Amino acid sequence: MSKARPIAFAGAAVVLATALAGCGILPAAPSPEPTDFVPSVSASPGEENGAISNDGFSAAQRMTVRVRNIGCGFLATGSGFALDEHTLVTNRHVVENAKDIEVSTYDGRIVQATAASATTLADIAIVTTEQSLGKVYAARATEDPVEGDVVTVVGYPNGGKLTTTSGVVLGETTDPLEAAAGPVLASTAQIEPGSSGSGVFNASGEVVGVIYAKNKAEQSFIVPISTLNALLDEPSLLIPETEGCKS
Amino acid sequence: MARRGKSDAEAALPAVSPYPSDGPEPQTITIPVVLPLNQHARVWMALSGVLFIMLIAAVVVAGYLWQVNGKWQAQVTSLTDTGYSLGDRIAEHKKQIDQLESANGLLSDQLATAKDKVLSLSDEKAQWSDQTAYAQQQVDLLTGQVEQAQTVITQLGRCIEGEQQLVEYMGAVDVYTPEQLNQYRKSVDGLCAVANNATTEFQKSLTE
Repeated sequence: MSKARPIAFAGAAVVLATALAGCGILPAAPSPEPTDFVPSVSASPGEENGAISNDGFSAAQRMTVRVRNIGCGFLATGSGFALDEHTLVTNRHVVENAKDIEVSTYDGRIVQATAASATTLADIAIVTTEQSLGKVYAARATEDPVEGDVVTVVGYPNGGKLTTTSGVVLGETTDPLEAAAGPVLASTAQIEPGSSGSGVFNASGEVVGVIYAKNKAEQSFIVPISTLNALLDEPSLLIPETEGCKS
Repeated sequence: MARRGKSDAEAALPAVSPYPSDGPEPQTITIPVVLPLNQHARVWMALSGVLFIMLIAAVVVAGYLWQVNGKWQAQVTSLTDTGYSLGDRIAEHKKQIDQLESANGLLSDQLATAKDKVLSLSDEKAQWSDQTAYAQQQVDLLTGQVEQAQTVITQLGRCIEGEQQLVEYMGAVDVYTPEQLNQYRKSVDGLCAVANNATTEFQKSLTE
């Protein structure tokens, strides 16, 4: 056999291999163009934002109520917030000695209270109504706020307009009125008479306490949510308030 | 070259005859021999073949690249057109966003004003309700005082009537015995004591 043939075969093989390898580095033709370059919108904005209603008021504002205590020879106002459609939370001293209790909502509706019950363990009272308070209720937090947490208070200071104020939790302390059984929280939120019973909200919009007092240093005092949760879990601790004037 | 190759072959013939020496003289036959090409020729042939194949391959690749280039150019043109089209749409949307932001700002202001109005009206209503409740308390208080005053007046009237009756009875000493007059005086004193107590209570309630 001639020596030329192996060389020719080898050369052809090299050329073929080079050609095949070269095909790998050759640029490919462009892939087909997409028909639409604009991505579809996955969700409409604000679809799940329950914090703002269609009337522009926040959930905290909508659940906050003004409590009017029509007593025997006196008239007092306080604040409160809805726990459900027919139940609200306020302070015991707001509804004490009431002959009649009326509740005003943020949009001016007046709802008559049917009953009130309170506890001696904390300055907390639960008021029930026959008419609906609205469709927005408090989401109760499971843990108390801690020192440094920013909180928002929504209520009716001086029985006036619905007002929102913010402050910082200063920490746990004993009840300055020496009436509460457990510890309370102090905060820098500015409140006035009439703010009693206001809900205290955390950054997530959950209720973390109930305003009930202030001191001369302009510190406000809060019944922590753990106390409220414990009271609501144990209804026997709530004693019905007697209505009517003592003759 | 063939010639030289042939003489080389002849020179390479064996010197000893394969036939026996005592036989007839062998006839001389010349056998042609085909000799292989030399090394250079083979290399040139192989190289030519390789070059030919490479030429064919290059032509094929060039054609392919020409086609791919055309497709890429077409797509670049199409994408450029699409880019300009999208740019126009973005510009249009930006314009709409600016207009909507402006409208949104206006609506936000209107909403804030409306919310403030709602809260003001709600507050106004609450204040009126407070005043109504307070007025109702005053009415109830006044009603109670009027009723109490009427009671006092009635009791004072009875006391006065009793006193007058007593004076009349005391003028008719021949009709009533002293014991009867004394008994009547006691009953009148009782009526007047009740009236006095009611008056004191009424005065006390007015000062509260």
